[in-house]
Amino acid sequence: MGRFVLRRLGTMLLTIFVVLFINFALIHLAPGDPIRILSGLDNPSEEMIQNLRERYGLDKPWTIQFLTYLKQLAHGDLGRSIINDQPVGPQIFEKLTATLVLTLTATIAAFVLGTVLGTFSAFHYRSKLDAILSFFAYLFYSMPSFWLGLMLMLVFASWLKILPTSGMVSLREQQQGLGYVLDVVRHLILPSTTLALVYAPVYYRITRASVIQTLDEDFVTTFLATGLSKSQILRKYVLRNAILPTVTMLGLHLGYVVTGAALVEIVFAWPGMGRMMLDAVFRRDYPLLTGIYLMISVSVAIAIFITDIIYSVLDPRIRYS
Amino acid sequence: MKATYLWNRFRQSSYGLVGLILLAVILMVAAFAPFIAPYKPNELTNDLLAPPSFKHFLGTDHLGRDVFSGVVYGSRVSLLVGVTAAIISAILGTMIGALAGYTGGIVDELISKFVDIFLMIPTFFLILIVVVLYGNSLFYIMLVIGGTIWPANARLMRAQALTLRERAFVKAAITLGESQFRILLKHIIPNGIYPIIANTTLQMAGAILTEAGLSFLGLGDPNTPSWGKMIFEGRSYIQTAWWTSFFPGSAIVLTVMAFYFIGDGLNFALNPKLKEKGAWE
Amino acid sequence: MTKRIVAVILLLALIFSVAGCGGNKSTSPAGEKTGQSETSSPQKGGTFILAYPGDPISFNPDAKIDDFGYSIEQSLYNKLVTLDADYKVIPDLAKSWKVSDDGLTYTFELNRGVKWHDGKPFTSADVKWTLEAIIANKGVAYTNLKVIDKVETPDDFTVVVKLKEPSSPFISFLAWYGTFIMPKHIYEGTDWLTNPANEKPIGTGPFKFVEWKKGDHVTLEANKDYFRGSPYLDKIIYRMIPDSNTAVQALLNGEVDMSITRPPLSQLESLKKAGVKVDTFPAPSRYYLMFNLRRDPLKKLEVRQAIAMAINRKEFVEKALHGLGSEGWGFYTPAIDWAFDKTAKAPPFDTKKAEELLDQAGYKKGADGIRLKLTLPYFTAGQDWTDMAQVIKANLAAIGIDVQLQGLEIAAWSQKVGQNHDFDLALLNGFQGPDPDNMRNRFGKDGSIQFMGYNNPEVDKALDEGAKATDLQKRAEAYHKIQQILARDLPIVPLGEVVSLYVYSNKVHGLSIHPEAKGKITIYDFSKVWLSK
Repeated sequence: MGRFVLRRLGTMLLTIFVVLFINFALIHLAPGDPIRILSGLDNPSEEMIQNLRERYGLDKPWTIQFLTYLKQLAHGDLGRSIINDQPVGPQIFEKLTATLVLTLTATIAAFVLGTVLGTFSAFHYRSKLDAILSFFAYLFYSMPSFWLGLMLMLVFASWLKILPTSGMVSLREQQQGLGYVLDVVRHLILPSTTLALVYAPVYYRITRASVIQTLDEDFVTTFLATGLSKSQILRKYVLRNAILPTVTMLGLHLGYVVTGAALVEIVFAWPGMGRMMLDAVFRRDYPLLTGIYLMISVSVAIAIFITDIIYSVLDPRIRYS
Repeated sequence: MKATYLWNRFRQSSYGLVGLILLAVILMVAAFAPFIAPYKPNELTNDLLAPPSFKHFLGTDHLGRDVFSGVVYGSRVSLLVGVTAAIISAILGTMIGALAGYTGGIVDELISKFVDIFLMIPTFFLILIVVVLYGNSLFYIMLVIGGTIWPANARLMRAQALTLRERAFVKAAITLGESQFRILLKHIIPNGIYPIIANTTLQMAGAILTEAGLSFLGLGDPNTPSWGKMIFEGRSYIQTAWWTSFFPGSAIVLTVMAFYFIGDGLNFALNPKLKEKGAWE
Repeated sequence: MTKRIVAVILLLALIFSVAGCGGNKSTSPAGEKTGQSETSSPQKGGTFILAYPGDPISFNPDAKIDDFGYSIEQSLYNKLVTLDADYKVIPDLAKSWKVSDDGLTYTFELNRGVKWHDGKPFTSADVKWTLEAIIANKGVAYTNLKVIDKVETPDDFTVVVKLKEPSSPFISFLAWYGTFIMPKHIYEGTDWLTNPANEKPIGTGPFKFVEWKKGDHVTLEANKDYFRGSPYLDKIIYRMIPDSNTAVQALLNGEVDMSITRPPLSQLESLKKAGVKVDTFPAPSRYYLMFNLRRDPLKKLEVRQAIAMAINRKEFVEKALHGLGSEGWGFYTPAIDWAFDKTAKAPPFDTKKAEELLDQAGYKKGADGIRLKLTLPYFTAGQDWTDMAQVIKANLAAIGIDVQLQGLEIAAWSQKVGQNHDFDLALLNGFQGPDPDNMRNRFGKDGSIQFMGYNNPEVDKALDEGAKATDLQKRAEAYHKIQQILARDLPIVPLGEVVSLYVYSNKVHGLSIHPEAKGKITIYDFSKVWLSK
């Protein structure tokens, strides 16, 4: 077991390194120059541009820049943004909270919704209800998240006016304490519902298939024969066995949580990492960009790592593959 | 696994059939776009933000472009990107996976490690970075999407290759002295390709959604109408002219659903153990 | 109840806009300015809330180009002289100034009793320090100020600036960009890019800094010791609302009093109907199409003329500019009227003649109806540019030119167009003031944003004449001459005149275009703003 963990850890670290490298290479080999943007179009002078370039070490070849970055990273320093000179780390963490609030809520909602409905469908296998639910699962799974968000915004915020259009808090007053929490919750409803509706079908599908599979197993038939009621069987045995793939999915999902929300964040002007990432790319803010990407990769890697470990604990066969 | 057998199984899946019909319709629309669309896609009429009417079936946008024509022509871009990206992914994945699975040993270990790492890279942002930094022509978009989703295919193919290389006819070929390359090409790949085919339809759906997402961020190709771009441009007018975003989005939903249906139908056809006819496996 | 009324009004607006489609909104002529004419007396107090498009890079006003910082800095800092809403130079920290006859020495007399927000007195030493720092650190205004030879301070309230050579635009440049006066006692001896005052600014302006929560808001409060008198407002809050639709909502709901975030032009009618004030005033900026004169088809004058004749400016203004702005025919901005030559015009809209010209030039229609393929990179900073590019594409398609659009963000665009000159056509706009010497950047041989590859020594000669002459009449002649040359050479095609927008609730008074403040303050200076209840 220990060896397995170490191997996985090794893969994780290697992955992060490779990711960083690819990211760095891509960014620095691209056409376009952040200093040009900073200097604007109205009246740039060559001296100003050269000055800025030297300041940010952008006049050295990118391989050197990469090594410098790694060195800094080892000290926990993510560098400073080129655009506003502020340290990268704190900026990312500021927005991270907002994104996490959104994505965790959505993922949990999706998980619950999908799993419950999936189990329900599996138990009413081949019934009309099952067919309808399955169709809706297909439908929502096929929707682009940003489009669904726009439509929900249109109906609930613009036409019915019962929910706010966008943002995380209302604009005029800054609430405190409980008022603040309620305000955020109100603003959270539309974006997290959008994400939940788009994610839920995956959980629905896996759970349903898994439960159907389990229900088919011999041990269940045996239990039925011994007279145990269906719901007892459900609770004690079926769910435990069927839950495995779903949990795996959840683990993986949590890793991708930040990426997935970006489009929805943009639609609802939710002040999270999605918008920040986009701006950083457009403005060629290399340190910020690399920092965000690093953070995302790390979270994905960690999530997969943990998922693998949990999975191997639950299913010993995996350890020896 | 024979084509007729597959087709018979596939036919039993109602979802699969519906998907196929739907896709056929969409393909026809794309192919005959110039005949179906009443206006040219970039044509600016003088009816700005007009709601659906006889003159403009699905209304017009803020520059006076006919939404119906845009949806019709937009099918071309979505299909092109979806299909091409998925095919690139299939080719890459198949070759790499087959090589790894068949060769075994250190080659396999290296390749598998590479694939594992690749699977962990957050792809959407990577694609975003590449498209923003290097250019947003359709060509790049297809290339970069295909170049990031192939690991799933590689894994599938590798598993197939591992089992296939133990089969008698492959062993016979080795004894006969056929070159590794030919074995891969003639025996391994053609026999192991089926799961990849099913997965490819799913990847086509995913690629269409990704392209729509990129266009929605304003990164699409500005010379051709695309559904994502239409949603993006319609966004500012959503309250007064909802049709500009609604219809292109619906088109995406229908197309993606078609691919998913077909994919599941294929999955059913390929898996004799499945009782499920084309609903979720 | 109000929400219902607004909903009904919006519904009516919808019906009207639907029914009236095809019937055009009248294009507002560039010279029209609307403003409030109420003269009720100002009420003290209140918090002024604005929707703002984005966070500043920092509050160092002179180090980097920072469009989002600029507007807020106008309330925090002052310059020596500044530009009013008509882009004329008016006194600011300097209450008067004199220029020597040889044009080499400028003597500024400073206002007395001015204090920095931390209480320290403002003196000529601050001016000297700031000007020298801009030059030494190559700040934004470096190119405009490098003509300075020395800055002397004979006493605390006099500044003498000696130039290396006479330069008539100098005073305008001092009033324009990146020339806010910064506190010497805070910045001296530090690195002005990382000085903590960049996050907590100290200025001399009518408002003091309170806090900055990034991505959320910036709060300022009144500077009761402001040298021109305490402002009426208590506080200003700039709320970060980059999304234009959200800004409109906020205006309609009364959540903000004014929006600096430009609302989608399609929403202006509904805003007006809801009682929100929408004022337009001409900006000395214009949209124009650049030709890459290094490339073959565009080297021929007939081709450029043909393209110019194919542009349907009415469609451009209506569709791309949503009726906001006016057609651009001249070669300078009419907003700076003393230098504008209205007889220098682009060729008229005539697609038939355009096609003839192309035939003559040897570019006949192929079997697919296409004569030429041209590339047009444009920047994707905002829907307007995309719309403009689409209109141009459609206009040129009508005469058989297939335009390949390339949407790039600013960095890639500058590289492609600015450095590599890899384009056929390109779109650009930008401030052409405050002094016509600005034409140097766009049309001079080494102009920093002259991307066309244009080189006409007559133009450069006239630019120099204009800069050196001190008599306004002589200067105007020089600039008129340039416009005539440009009309003949057609290195660019003017498209439309940009119009600035003020969008605010009817409770707001005292903005820079309102009669009570006109000519006294610069555009985003809110020192004279008051809110009625």
